[in-house]
Amino acid sequence: MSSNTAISIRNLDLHFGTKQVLQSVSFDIPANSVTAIMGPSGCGKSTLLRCINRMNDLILTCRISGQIIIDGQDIYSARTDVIDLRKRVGMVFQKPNPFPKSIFENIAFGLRVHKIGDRDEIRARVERSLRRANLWEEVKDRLHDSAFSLSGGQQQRLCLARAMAVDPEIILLDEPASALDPHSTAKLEELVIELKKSYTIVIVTHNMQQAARVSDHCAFIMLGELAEWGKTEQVFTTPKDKRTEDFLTGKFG
Amino acid sequence: MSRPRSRVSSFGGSIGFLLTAIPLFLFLAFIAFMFYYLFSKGVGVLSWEFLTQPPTRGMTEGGIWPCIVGTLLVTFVSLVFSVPIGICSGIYLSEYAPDNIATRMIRSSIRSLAGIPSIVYGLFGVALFVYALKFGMSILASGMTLGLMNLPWIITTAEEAITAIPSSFREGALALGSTKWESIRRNVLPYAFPGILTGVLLALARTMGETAPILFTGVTYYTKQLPTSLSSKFMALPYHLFTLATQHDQIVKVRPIAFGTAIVLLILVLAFDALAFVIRMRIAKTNTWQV
Repeated sequence: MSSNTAISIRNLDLHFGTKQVLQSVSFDIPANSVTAIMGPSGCGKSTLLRCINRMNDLILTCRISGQIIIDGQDIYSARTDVIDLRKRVGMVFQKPNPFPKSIFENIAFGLRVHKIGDRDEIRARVERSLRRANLWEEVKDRLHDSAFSLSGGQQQRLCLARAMAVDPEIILLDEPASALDPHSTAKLEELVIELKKSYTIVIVTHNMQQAARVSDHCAFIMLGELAEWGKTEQVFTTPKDKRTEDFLTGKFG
Repeated sequence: MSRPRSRVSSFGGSIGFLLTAIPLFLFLAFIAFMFYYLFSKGVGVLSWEFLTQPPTRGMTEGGIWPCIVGTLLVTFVSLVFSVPIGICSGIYLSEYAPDNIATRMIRSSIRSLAGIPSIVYGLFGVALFVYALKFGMSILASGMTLGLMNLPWIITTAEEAITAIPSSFREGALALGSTKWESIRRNVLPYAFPGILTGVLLALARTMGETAPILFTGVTYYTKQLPTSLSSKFMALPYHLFTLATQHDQIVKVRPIAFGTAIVLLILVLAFDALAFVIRMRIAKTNTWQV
């Protein structure tokens, strides 16, 4: 594990009931970079992503073995505070899920939950998060309008701003552009690349071009196994695994 | 040039229309007649005095003020008892209960409880609240009996209102580091609240008209005083109506008062139903996530 590794996944096995979904997955995700997790539908890539902030805990039949190490600590050890983990590891979902509150209150939600800051501090953080999400200029005059008045692309950037408001180190993006039009997708991708200066970003996508555009490293998952892992350039130009090559050349997926 | 519609199909169409429309209009005509009948017989006694004075001269004159107060109080007591328990149970069933046979049995038992005849609740109320818990015949015993009868309705509407909130709100809050309770409290209950309130108002409207559960547990034929404490007996609109219509020794003379009482009870019930309706309409407008 090199010094700039943010997340180290080791021998991760995951079962839903009797069905094995992930099988001894191991790889390291470097800090301050974008790592893409690719693969065909149903290969377990979203499940893998949801292991990193323990969202799979919500599924009662889910059993996990192996380790995910963040900041030198196994997040599946008994000592881990899941609430604190989720504060450090933010997440944006596939379908934009703004809360039925104002734009301002959406961003302030996490701050209020964690009792961070007084009125002024909250206001400052809301503005900072919206600026980071390139949304400030578009919404600064209507912060108290419903978040549902935003377009799909704006809603997704709002969700990203909401995640950033509580100062995570890592941001997980679960196919964030799959419900967006091409223009909004381009804006979101631009943002993701920009944000890697401040955050470690892990993005799940079934879209190869997207992975190629935004990621520095990529992992390719096939039927719950890690088929390939490396620098994006290398994976796309000289894949080591036959399955990766078939996927990239469009033989399936 | 349009082809003339075939006789068979238009005939078939009108049969379906008539088969379904006639029963509905019959029903509406029946309701309209009931309203007309009630109002034509009872509107004469309605006056400010009727609403604000106690009955006098062996109930042949005066008003129904103690009955209005009694009905509103006993309904209030029932809600104080059933709303907190009902909402908590609804939250448990929708958010915490594991999805297994036990839960499904509990859920369907609660649904069946809503169908138990109210007179049975009345008898149970006597046994439990009046005698076993020694509340005596009182507004408290009646209120709790009505509360028990209400509970299945409140639990069910609360559970449904909470389940209707999209799971993405819960997930989103959890992913930001909320505890489960925080995600429910901050990001589910506020949006379920109007739906829960509608259920409570409908339960309230039903409760006001119930006679059987209060019959043996606290309502009284006549009392000079308004209830002074939870252990007082009380008068109530539905029971007053029953008394005037069947138990009075001058039934014909007091009949207009009986109809007047019925009108007041009906208006109270409809007012709360209308309030529930207005709230539902407003939710439909503001809940923009419910596409």
